Amino acid sequence: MPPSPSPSPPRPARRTPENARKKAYKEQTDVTNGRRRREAQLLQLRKSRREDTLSKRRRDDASSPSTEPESDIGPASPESDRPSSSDPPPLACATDADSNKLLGIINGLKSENISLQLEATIKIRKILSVDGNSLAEEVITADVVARLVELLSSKKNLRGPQLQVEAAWALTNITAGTSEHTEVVTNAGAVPKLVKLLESPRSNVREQAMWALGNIAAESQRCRELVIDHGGLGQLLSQFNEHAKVSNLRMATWTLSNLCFGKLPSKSQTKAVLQILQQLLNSIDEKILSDTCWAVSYLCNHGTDEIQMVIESQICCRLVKLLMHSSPKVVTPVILALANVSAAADCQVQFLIDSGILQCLLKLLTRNYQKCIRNQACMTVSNICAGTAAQIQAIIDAKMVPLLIQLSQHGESDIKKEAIWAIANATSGGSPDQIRSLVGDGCIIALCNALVLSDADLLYACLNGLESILKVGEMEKMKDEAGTNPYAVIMEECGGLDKLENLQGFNNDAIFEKTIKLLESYWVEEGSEYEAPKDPSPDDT
Amino acid sequence: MAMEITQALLAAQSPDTQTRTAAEASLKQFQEQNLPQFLLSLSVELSNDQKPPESRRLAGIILKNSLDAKDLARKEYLTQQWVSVDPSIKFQIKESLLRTLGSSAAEARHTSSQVIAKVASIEIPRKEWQDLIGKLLGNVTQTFAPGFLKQATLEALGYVCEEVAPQDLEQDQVNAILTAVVQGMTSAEPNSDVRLAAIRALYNALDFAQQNFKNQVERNFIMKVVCETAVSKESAEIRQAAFECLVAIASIYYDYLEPYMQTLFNLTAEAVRGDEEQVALQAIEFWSTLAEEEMERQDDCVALDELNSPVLHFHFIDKALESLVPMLLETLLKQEEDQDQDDTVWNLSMAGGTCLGLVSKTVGDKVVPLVMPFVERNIAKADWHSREAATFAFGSILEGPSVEKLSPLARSGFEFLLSAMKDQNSHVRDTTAWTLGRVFELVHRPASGDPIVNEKNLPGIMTVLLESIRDVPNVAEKVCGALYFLAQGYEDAGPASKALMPYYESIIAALLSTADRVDVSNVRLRASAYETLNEVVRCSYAPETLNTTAQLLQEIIRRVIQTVELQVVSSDDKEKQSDLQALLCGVLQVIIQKLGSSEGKSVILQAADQMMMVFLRVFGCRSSTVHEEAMLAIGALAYVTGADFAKYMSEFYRFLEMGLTNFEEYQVCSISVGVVGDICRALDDKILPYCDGIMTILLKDLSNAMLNRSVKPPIFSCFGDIALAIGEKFDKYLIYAAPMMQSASEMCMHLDTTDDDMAEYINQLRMGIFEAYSGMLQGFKNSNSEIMIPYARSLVQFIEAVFKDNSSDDLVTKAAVAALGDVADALGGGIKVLLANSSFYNELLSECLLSEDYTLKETAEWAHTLIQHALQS
Repeated sequence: MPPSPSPSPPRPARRTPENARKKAYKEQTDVTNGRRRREAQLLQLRKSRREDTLSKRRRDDASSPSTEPESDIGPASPESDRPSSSDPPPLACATDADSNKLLGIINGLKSENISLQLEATIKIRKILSVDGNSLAEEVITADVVARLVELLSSKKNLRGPQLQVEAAWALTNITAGTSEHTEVVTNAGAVPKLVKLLESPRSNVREQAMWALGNIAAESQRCRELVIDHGGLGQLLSQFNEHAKVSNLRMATWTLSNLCFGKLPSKSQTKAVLQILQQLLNSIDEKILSDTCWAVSYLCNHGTDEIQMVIESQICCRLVKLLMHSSPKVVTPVILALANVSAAADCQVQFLIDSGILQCLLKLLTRNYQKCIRNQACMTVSNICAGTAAQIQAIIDAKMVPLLIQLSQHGESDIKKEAIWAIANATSGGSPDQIRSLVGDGCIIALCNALVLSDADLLYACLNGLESILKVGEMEKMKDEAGTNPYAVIMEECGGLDKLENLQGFNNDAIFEKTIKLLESYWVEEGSEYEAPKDPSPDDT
Repeated sequence: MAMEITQALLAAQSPDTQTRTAAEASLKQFQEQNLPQFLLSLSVELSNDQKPPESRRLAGIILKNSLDAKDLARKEYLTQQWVSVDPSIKFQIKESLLRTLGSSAAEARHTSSQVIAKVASIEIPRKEWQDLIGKLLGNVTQTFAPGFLKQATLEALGYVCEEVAPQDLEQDQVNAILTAVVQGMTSAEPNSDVRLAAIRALYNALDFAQQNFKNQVERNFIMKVVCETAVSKESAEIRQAAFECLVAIASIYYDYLEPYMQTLFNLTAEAVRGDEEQVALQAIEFWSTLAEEEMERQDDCVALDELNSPVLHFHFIDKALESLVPMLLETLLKQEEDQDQDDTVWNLSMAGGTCLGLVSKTVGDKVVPLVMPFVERNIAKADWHSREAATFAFGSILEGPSVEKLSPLARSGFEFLLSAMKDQNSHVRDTTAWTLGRVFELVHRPASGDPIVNEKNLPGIMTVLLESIRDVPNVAEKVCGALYFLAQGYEDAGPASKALMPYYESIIAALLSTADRVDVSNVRLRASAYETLNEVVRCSYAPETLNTTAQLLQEIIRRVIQTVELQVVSSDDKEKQSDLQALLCGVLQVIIQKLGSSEGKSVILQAADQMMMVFLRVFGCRSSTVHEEAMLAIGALAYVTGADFAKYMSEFYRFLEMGLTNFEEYQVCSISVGVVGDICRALDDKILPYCDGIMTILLKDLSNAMLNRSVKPPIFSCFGDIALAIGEKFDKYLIYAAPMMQSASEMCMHLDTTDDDMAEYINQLRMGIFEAYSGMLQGFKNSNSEIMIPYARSLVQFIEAVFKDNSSDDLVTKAAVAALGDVADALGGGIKVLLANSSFYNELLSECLLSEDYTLKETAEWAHTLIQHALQS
């Protein structure tokens, strides 16, 4: 037949939605699909009977020629590992029986027979995975650990990879313990060998190695540096490739986030990490996403250089979007990261505003999120309020001020403080027009109410804010026929003046001076009583 | 000839049989003698406005049927036939078709646009008729083109897009089509028929618009025009078509939807609340589609490699939830009287509730607080609409949210639901029964410490259900469903397993009399009653119910005999008889399996002759469905009787043969193939006398191109079953079967695994092939294993190929490893030569030894032992 273009595969017919939906209405699928279900059951039955027949034949024969090799080939399967489960409950100190058993295990570990090694390693791993197992302490000796580390580089044998996994697993369990335990592992030279395992062609070997390295990295900055010095970071980054399985990616991301907890030695490393993180931020696996965001938030913790690199890697926009993610596991690290960025230079903050962060923050603050998320959100707002006039304007335009005022009165204590910071920052740095708008929303009362707090920095900020407000009030005075400072009047009416007076007794020079300055500048003319504090209150201690 | 064909076409529609037959014969003769001229005459007839509409209509139908058919083989034949027509005649036909688009007769235009699309579906993929799109666009873009020409042309464009695959059109053609179509949709187009045709064409063209949707400017424009059309004032039909486009966009272009969501929400909300029903239904469909899309993406997110192809998931449903749910709840109150008695009704409340169910599956717990206030507010109102809507809302959210969240609600509302089964309104009772079924299915959890149904309330529940099963048919059907799920819950439910047993007899009695009801016009109630009976029997607590089930067996046998003795006059009677037989054979199958695997085995053995007689009589009535159900039951029976089944073989064999040769109804064939396997395992070498016949048919089936491909993998497995049963006697079939296995193996390596369906098929085929080899190797192992040597090499190659291709699933890998072990097992030292130059098997085994799947690991250990041993020998 002459070659003819093969007919294109029929396109899936677009379903007529109505018919499909109609079926779904008050659907009782199982009831109506009885025959198909019965057929499937019979099919299943048939399969298992076929397998039974086959395996009967297969076993038939295994009995005649090959009884010997059976025993020498395999270690007992994990299921038959009875000792650890049928043992008496763990005692405070190991019994003789335990010690004997341990001796057996250690002998196995040291043998040259890979099957015995594997068996012993599995047993050790199991001992270590049971909390409070009396044998655990005895297993974690330099000797045993050194041998486990040796086994990480088992020869290329059919069972080599399995042994590598088990040894790495055992080490993982040890590194999940105390700092001393981890130290035994690092001292035994485990790190370079674990890093080496990241090159293994087997994904479960790599995964187990990452887990162990992740535990080690979580221990201390020294440990993190150890991993990085041995090339662990580069190897880890190469795990993120198109062939990786989801479970591997999850593990790699988690380990990476642990490495990012400390400052990375070089800028180029941070850059390389950010490149990967940027890709990972598009993942919709919640676990991966969450750990990625934690990694970013750690990086943002290290200083403005890192923050600048984060901004340059163009992930802020995505981070801002993730604020609206449905899981707090993602939102928490994201808001922590963004709060850090918001504390950086004005131009860095501007990136966040341009990415639309304010609308997101507004939602975070008004909806029922966890307290720590709302707290960080509010802190981010107050950081932005400390920025340029344009940034303050963005806050006003986003209709954020009424919310801040409400939070400053009724929020939970931490959030309340952050809201006051925000208002104080905005009023201190705002232009006259902005201040008029802020006053219109009720900032004076909010700041005055805050004058009873005991946090000196915050008080000072409030006083600064009030000062700016009163200055603008002086300008208004010119326009006002009565010639009064309208904002000073508001302060008096809301009891703010009284609170200000009381601050003269606050034990802090800066605050005292600021208070006096305000009183003298704006109220002194109305009477002589403010010229100087009359009698220092007796409880001024 | 031209005059003649008009007359022939008219005569072929004559009420007089003789005239009609003669005309049909002469048309057929013309067609066979000179197909090109025949087709040309038809196209001329269709295009000629002077001709009567009847002859033109038939000319169009015959033309269409000469180009396309549902059956794939026939379609391929017609395609070849058209391709070989002389190009100059094809040209004339096509010109004539294009001309017809401008005909004054609407029907001729419509037919012509369909035929054009059929021709395009053959020629465009072959890179022929490349000026078609240009010509069609010419019609649309002419300033003074009459409206009906534009309308017919747009319709033709739409059909062409429907018939042709996206890769067959050039991007600039796609651009031009979209431009023309979108132009036709805008308000600049005065003729509303044209606008309707344009929006419908867009619907078909959406699949082609990948590039255009990637481009923000173009995307914005398309979305803008579609959204504007969705609120067009002209006609509901136009708005409906626009919403249909939005529905399609939601599933094809989900990734791009985000910026439009606010607008789309407003549009759909307005349509749902204020537009005509046909439009509102599509607006709801938009959200149903979105919910399904997001559920699918949630699943994919775990399955896919995310770095490579990031799956976007915007949580639209989640974000819109607070406005979406109230909108859907409103629709629930718009029921119609009697909607549950009429299967053809599809209205706002049904669509809204179904959508709510999907939303609930998408977001889980979050939907609950948004729905419950509505339920509480309406559940006890005087107006039945409110009560039904409240119940439907509650029933709809039972899937998705966690049992922890639902359980307290179901518990506190349960008594109320029971009492609502006595509501004066049947619609409320229908929905209540359905909701009870959902509670039993999804929230009940009998095996948990604190089930919703307990010994205290069970008596009350049973009283209500057994009473309500006598309610009107639609309610009774839902009650059957409720009983079904209630019974299902007690399967392997630990100490609770016996809970339903005191009612076993009365449930069976109620279901049997429900199946007998005479007021049932709707066949579904009877089917539900029998299927529920099956589930009740299947999940019953065996030792205590043995006697009752044995009695039921006799009753069912009696009922089958009744059907055989029924008087069958019309084809309608015949269908009813065969449907009923199918249901009854289904019950027999369930009883055979239930009793056959327990103390009740003797009951089945005693009744085996009786049952076999009944099955054979059912076969005698000859209808494919019954064939299947009776076949399935026979397969189940063979397992119970074991080697004794041999006594039925001589009579049964001809029906088995009939099933195996029925390649047109491939399911019958497939089931029969499976039953051969069952019988092999029952009879072992007693199957031998029938093997020549069976193997001949199976080999024929394999090489039959008309047989549905899904039957082929089971046929291979069946080879293995036969070889295992008859051992060395299989040798005479080996030279026929093995080459089939080899060529199928080679085919597996060359098929396209990127298509999901194909990938699944390949895995089934691989499985079948491995099972065939394994059966043969094990069958020959003890006597004549050398006979397999020539075939073992290609098996080893096949295993290597499967191992290196990572599209195989774990089951296939296990079968591959097992087959490798079988080679070593059967050939012993003979394997050395086979494995001499390959190392893959070590890799394969070591990978499997690391597997978390215990059975795979075990198989690998077994195979490894054998191979080691064979290599050392």
